[in-house]
Amino acid sequence: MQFNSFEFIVFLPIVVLLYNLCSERYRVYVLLIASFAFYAYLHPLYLCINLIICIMTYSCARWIAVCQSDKGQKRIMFGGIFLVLMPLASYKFFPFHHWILPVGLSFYTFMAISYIVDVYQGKIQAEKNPCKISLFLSFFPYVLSGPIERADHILPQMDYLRKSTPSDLTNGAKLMLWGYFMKLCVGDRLAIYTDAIFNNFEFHSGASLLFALVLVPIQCYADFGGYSFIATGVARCFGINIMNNFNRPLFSTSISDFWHRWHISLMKWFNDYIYTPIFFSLRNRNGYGFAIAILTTFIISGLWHGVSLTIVIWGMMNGVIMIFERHAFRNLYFSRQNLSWAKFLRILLTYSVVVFCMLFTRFSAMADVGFVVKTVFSNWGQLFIDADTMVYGLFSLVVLFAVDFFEEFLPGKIKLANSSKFIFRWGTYLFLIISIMLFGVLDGGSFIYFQF
Amino acid sequence: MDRRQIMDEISPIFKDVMHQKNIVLNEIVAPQDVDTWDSVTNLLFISELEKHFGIRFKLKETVKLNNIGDFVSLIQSKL
Repeated sequence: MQFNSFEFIVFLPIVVLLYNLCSERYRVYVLLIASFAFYAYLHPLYLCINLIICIMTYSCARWIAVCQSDKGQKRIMFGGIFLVLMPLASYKFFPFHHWILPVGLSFYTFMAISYIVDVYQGKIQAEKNPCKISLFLSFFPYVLSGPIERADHILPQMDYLRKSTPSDLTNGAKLMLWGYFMKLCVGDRLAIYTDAIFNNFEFHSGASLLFALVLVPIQCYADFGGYSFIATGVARCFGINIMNNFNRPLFSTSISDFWHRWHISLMKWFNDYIYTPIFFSLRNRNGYGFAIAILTTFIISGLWHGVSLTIVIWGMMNGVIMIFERHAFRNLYFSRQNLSWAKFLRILLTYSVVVFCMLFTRFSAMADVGFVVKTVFSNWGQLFIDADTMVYGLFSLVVLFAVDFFEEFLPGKIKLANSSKFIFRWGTYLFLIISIMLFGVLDGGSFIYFQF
Repeated sequence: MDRRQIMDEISPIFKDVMHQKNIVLNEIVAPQDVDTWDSVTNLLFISELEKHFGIRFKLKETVKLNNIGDFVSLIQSKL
């Protein structure tokens, strides 16, 4: 079941209703059964893998809690990480013939690892109720594509699952509406154009390739950011707050700033469980420790996105740029200026670098990347025009850009969906609903991040 | 060594690593209060503290440090 499917539109109100009708002690079971049903609806096998990981995670954490010695706890932690990683590693690196990676597997595997490590490090207590761990790892708003939540944020909320308030429901619905707009009107609409270009890149001009490349980060942001807003909105309908996954990444002023705004939950996970342990073990190696830690983190991040040379290069480029930014870029004149022109230049430069890096994520062969770069510089030609897609997509893009712009530079100044005036509030809702109906791609396209 | 003595000794190390010559360090100072206190300078600070006091921290001990007071408590427990 996907967020943009008819089944989900029926499923969600039923679960919200059941959740609010039953007493507080049974709400965890309502959400758990709903989550299992939601996930099993995709494929019963997916639920089996999820259940196995839930059982392993719960058992390891409980074992760590009763183990007395630090050495023993450490062994259990590494054993637990190895076990919960097994399904993901077998799918990623040893793909079985005709088996497809279960949607969301890597997201809840990462959550399971973070829980086991956090229990070992004493950041949280091992939960005694296995149902709560199962719900933490399979909660349907985030099981398919994150955000990669943390136990210390979710489990305390599950200790007391209160009734949904009117504000929970309206705020949840607003977030979902905005998420659907981003996904259906911007992400899916732009995808029609970028797919048309990249699926036949050999036949397109440099102008078309460059235009499509410039659209790729916006398309990914609208797709995955839209998904994240929907996930946050769905969880909010049950009074549960889940973490923000995107923070207006199009206005990043450096690559390190970009990675603090883009897929925040994944980058925080990589920071806490890959980068920090590596850097910690190399802390006496001066600058080398940082360089090795950041490069390793981005290469692993690249391998998570896909096993290909171009993806590894993408990871290395990001790592190298971040090392460069730390040691050289911050001393440049315009990096230190807070003036609007300097900030504008930094945003433009960062976006250009992001566009170039993302080129490596669109192709799995270096020859194809080389062909695109060569075409952009040597065969400018005419821009491919797909009038409907470009008009609808760019209109929606302007709306998305304007909303992010005002939130970034004039926070709280313009209130539309949150206005106290009825006419502004409902005007915004109607505008978004009509836009989705007129400009949205409503044929149930998938979400980009489901493949990971 | 009491907390005040530890504070006096870590103060110059902190100012040097964080490039904050004028900061008045107290136990409630936390990463969000100091612009230059990020993941990199945090680990450099830890490394300098280990060298200065001749002690060794474990990762699981350092991930729970939220402010200077926590650093002082951890150092005190190891001296």
